[in-house]
Amino acid sequence: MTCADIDQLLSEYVEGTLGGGLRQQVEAHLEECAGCRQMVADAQLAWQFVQRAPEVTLPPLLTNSILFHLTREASAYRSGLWGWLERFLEPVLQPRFAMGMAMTILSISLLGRFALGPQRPRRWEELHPVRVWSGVQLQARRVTNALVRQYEDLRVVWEIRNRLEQWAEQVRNTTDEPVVEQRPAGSEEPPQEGENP
Amino acid sequence: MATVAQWWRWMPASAEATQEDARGGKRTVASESELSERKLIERCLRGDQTAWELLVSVHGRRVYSICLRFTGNPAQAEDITQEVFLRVFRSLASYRPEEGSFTVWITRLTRNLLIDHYRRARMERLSDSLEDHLPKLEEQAAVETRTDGMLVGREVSELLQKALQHLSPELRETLILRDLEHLEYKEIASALRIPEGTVKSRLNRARAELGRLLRSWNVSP
Repeated sequence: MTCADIDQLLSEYVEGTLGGGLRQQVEAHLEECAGCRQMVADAQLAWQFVQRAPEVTLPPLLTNSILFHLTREASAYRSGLWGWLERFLEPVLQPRFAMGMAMTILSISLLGRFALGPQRPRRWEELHPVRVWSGVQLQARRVTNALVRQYEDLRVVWEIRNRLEQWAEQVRNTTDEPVVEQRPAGSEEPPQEGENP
Repeated sequence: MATVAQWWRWMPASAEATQEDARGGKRTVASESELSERKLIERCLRGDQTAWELLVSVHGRRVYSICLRFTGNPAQAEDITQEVFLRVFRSLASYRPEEGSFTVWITRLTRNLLIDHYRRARMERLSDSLEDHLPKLEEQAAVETRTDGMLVGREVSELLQKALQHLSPELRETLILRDLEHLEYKEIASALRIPEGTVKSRLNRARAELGRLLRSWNVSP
């Protein structure tokens, strides 16, 4: 028996389940072959060590977690026409797909705008730096003016609103004040009817 | 199409079971001995939630154990175990009992996910710098200098966990399935889709490598 022959028998030999005749043949080879003897010694050490390892237990929370995910997975597949429609459209109704569609539509529209739309013929004079710069300045001035106008409008609106609130407050104060009779200074008796103060 | 038809039945079946409970009716929770594997699978395919609970309780420990021994990381093992059962849920209809036992089928599924995870992790490790590995190297050195030969229980488990990480994935999975999960050689061959002779050969090499490693750590049997 060669080393290659006993390769198929060693695992069972180490476990102690190899039958009598084959076992003797393996032992006879091991007496002659130092390499196989060392290999068997290492394998026996490993096998005996592994047998001492305690059995792994399933964490209790893991069972609950698995069942929870299974239930969620199942509920994702609802019955009926709506459920079927949801499953059918599921690949389409993804944020990535929606984003992709939006970008595609934008790209096509931009392409259409520049490639298919009516083009005004450009002239060389329009590319002169002075002209370009003045155009930019003009545009910036327009934007600035629009912003200033917007700010002014907002300020006026805010002032009007503030003023109205102040008036409303004043009116509310005057109506809420109790009517107090005015007495002339120094007089002890209340003024009589028809008597001038 | 059959898979979809089985999925949509899940909720109504659960609802029926709940209604039976509410009426005080008998909701059968069969034990493993009472319910054969095939019947359990059939009930799962019909969408019976109780059957799924039983399936997880019967096979969950083995799947988690394989994942934990292979990865050496409890958090990763839990994630992969969860993923395994989600895969089982999605592809249970493709299981054919005549092609092998459910244990072999789910073991193969687990093994495939573990190999995927191992490849991803290896790619991440390759992209990491050496500095990220320094703590691990120090930890390894601490293990290797240990000379205590009288290890018990948890220590054996932890040391075994670390030793297994030194084996190649092929040798590791073979040793886990045979020596820790006690699967038959035929079952391992079927789960790994390799000849039985290769299983024995790999097992010899795995045990010899593990033994050499343990000897170098001064661990006695």
